[in-house]
Amino acid sequence: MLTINNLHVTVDDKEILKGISLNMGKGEVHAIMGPNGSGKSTLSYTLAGREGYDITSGGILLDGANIADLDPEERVAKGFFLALQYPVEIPGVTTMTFLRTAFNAQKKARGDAQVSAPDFLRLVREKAKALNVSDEMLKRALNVGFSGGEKKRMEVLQMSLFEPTLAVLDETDSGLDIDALKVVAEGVNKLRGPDRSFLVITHYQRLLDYIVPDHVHILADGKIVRSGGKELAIELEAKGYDAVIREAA
Amino acid sequence: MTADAATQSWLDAATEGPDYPGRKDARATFAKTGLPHRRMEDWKYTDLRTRLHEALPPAAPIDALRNLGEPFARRAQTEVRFGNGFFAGIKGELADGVRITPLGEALKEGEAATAGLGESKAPVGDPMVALNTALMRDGAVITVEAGARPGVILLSHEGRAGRQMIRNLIKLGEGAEAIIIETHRGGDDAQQFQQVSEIALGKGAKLTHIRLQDAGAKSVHLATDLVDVSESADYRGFVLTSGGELSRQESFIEFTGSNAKAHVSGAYLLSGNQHSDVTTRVNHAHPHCVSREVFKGVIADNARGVFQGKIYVAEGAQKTDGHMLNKTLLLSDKAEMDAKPELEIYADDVKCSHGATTGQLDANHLFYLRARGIDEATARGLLMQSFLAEALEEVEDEKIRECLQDHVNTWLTAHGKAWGRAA
Amino acid sequence: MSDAPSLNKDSIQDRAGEKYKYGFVTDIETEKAAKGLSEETVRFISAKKNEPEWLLEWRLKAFRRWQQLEEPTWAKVHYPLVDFQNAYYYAAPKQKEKLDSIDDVDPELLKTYEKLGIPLQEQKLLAGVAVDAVFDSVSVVTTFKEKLAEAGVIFCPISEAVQTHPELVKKYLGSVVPITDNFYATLNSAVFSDGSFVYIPKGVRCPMELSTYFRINAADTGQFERTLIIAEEGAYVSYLEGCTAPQRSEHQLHAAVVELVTLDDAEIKYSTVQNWYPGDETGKGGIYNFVTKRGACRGKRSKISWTQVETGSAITWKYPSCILQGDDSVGEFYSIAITNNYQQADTGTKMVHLGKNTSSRIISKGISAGHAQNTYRGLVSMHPKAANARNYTQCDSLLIGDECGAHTVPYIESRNPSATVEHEATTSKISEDQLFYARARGICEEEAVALIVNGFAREVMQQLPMEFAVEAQKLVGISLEGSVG
Repeated sequence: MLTINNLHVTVDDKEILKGISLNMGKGEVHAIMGPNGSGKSTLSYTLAGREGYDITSGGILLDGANIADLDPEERVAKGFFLALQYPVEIPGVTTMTFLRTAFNAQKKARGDAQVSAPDFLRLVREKAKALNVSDEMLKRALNVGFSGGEKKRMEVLQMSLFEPTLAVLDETDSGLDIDALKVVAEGVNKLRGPDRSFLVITHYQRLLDYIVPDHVHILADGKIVRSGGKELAIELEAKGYDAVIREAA
Repeated sequence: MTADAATQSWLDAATEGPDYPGRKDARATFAKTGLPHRRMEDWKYTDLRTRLHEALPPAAPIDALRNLGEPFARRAQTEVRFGNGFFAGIKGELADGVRITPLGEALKEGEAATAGLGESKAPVGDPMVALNTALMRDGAVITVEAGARPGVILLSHEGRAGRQMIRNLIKLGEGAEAIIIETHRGGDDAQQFQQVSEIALGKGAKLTHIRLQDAGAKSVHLATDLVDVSESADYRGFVLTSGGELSRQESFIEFTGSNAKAHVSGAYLLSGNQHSDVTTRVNHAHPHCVSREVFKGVIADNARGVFQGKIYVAEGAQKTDGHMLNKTLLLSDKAEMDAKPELEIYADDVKCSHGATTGQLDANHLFYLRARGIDEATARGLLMQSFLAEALEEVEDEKIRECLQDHVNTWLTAHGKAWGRAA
Repeated sequence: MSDAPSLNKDSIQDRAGEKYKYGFVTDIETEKAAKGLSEETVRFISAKKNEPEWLLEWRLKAFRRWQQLEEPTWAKVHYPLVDFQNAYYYAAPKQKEKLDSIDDVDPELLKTYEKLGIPLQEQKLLAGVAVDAVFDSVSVVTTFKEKLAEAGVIFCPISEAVQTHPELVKKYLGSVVPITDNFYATLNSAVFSDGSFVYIPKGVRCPMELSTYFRINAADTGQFERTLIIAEEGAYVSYLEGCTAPQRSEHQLHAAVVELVTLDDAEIKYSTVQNWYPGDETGKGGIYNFVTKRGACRGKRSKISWTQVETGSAITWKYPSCILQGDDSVGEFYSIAITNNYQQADTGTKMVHLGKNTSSRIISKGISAGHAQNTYRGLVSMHPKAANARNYTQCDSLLIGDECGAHTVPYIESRNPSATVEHEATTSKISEDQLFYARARGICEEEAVALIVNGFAREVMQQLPMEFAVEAQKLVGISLEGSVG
């Protein structure tokens, strides 16, 4: 459902991704692991369509359609979702307002009817409960004053609301302690299904104990140097990036 | 348009000493505006036309100077001494890589232009800078060669009487680093002191520039620093004001290249009928520059403080980082503070802010100290010390900071009788 | 992938460029005074309104003074000098007599009101809001007079108040903004045509929110509204002012004066949504808005609060102010000022603390886009007797695009040691991160900008009476608040 074809991406005149190819089927969970500077965030921002990330060659197909020229919001309408490593604060805009605006924007893009305020409220509360997101958090300005764990839970809440077909998790585990990690992982696992694929980008193997992947790819210096099953993550944990990358060279 | 009496008196002021190019033009520039007055926005709170009634006769050099450069003199390798605005010799060693000549000499030999006179980006047509150009007699021309680190240079001024007009030309070559301290002290007879310093920092140069203004009780003390900060250079200015009947400290910083830094800070301690005006302007003409200003003051009796700070960010000066803070404590019913922190911004990708507060000591803090057995006057003194410390912390050199702190403490103790009753 | 570097700038521009929907002209016959301004003009206006001698004298005194004055040029705005002789100073739609009810109003006029979005027939009436609809310098209809009369509230055109309550008008007119105050106030005093007069008697809480709509129609007519609101001891009123104007190619001058007076324990809440024609994309032809608004908190514990959303005018010069005379009185100023294209705004407030324990709060949010210049100019002054007075000021500027300017010029003058003034100002832009985040959640860029700007201005928006919330949000571009909590 996601095909990345020999993707080269340049940021600020520097080539970061040097030919990434990847094939993800429906319902699959792929993990991308790599040391700092390997291009993990570049990959996720490129998939999301962020300005400044220039595709110099290669393509991205989502369900067979080329999305490389689409604006970020257009990709969301097509079922893409990126959970950010550093969720952004927007002062003065309550979380609830933001969620409803986004939700209705997507409904509109897909030609669906807008949801009424009370219905939406009910929907959000339902999903929020499962993630330990309180009513009080929903009334606060988006991400302002949220702890690391709260911010990540908010990302997962959004994911469960928007029901994407492809979700990219960019280092969702960074800054979380075990308990917070479990809550987030549980939320993600609940969303797994035959029509939904996940690309989990992470530095540490730990998250993959909870979100067990079907395939693992190792990213180094802008290229995927090795791919394998979930055992690859364990091997990586044991040997370390340096060794594994050297061997793959 | 006929000039008012005060302006006329300055136009008629006797000009002595060697003539030099630019003097006549400067007089004409001054004549165009005359002495600044309250209807000029920058002089709204300090009307020189009413306060400089008449130009005093020019001062004469002093024979025997007192040692008024202490305790800073101990920290300096080189002390350049001035009496009544005239160069009076250099004490101590002159470090390698630095040249110091009296301006008077440079003017005589026609060398002032080469030393950089008039090169600074002063506000065009500024009447007071023009006045200084027309009447300047002496000053220090300090040139620090590229890469040189001459240590601490002290310019110690003693003023006794009359009109003293000083111009300093300070140039730091690429990568040079220097610390210049100025002390201004003197007697209580009527004096008019005006100093304009044209300071140019070469690429990557760093200048720490500290001034202690403790002029005599009947002094008018006007000091203007025109500072050009080029690419990657760093200017750290600090002025402690506690003297003079009327003083105005102007710092006009111009970034002439990117990635440069300027910190302009100070503290003012005012009492009696003093009027002190601190006016700063930082021109972010280039992107990626950082500016910081911290000014704190304490005003007692009938004194009046003025703070005008402007951060100007030109179109295209992206990634500017400019912040300004001004806080004042009023200690008496007749004290007055006027502050105008301004932002004029034409670029969007910038982080600029300013904060200004005027008020009194925190009652909770005061109570806490007294609840620990400290009497009210001492408690107030301690709180004020801590209040002023934030500004003093801008001075990096510990020894110099201590000297300044001592001066502050002495002032606080001396004026401890000014309060002692809840405001 | 989208390419333009500052798409956010363009989207705000688009919204501003959306055809100014209030640009139309009503066809009704208007009776005008001869062009130009002279003593005859002043007498003509006074006679047309059947004014008593004392008021004519007052106008003439102002006029003669105005003739001696020079137009001020100190504000940070640049505009071609106004030709005062090239305008009509009085224009009234031809009407026979005063009308008591909506049904008697000229249907053409009513259609105009409808187009303007003044649903005289519907929401307003049903909600019980009295509307003093001002059309081209003369009030045409005042509704709900009876209900207000029951409460003892007087809400009528000032020209009517001069006839029915001359002693009140005489007592307070010019007492807050004297004819000597400034160039435009002096001009207004000479040629003001109409405006609202509101009087709330002791202890009365005005039973409904009052509002007034303005509109400039006839070409070259300056608009000189004069409003006077008096709240006696313990009284309360919330007054809403909203303006719209049609497209014109010559600049039109709007120099209104608003005077507010609160006695002990009284409160006036004055809200404005200003949407005057801002000029086209090239900066041609907008309204000049030079307004003097001042409130005098004469009484102890009295309160005056100014809330404004300013999005129009080619040039704005406006400093709603409070004189905090009474001990424990409170002044507030909440403002959102949006400038785009070639608009210029120099606005702010003056809080003058005279009495003890007085307090003031200033929250100003300026949003600047296009080639616009947006300046906050404020004065906070603590007088020697203002013991324990407090001020808090927060001035934030948001720049959209790299060709506009945002400036802050606060004057802080303190002469009392126990008074506290706290002022903070920041400047920022909409961050790329915030925009990307919103778009990565499916919100299109234009809406994302509107969302973020609304968040930026939230603290002020919350001050607006519900009445205006909708119009204000439309103006800023968003509405989704209030669903939780």
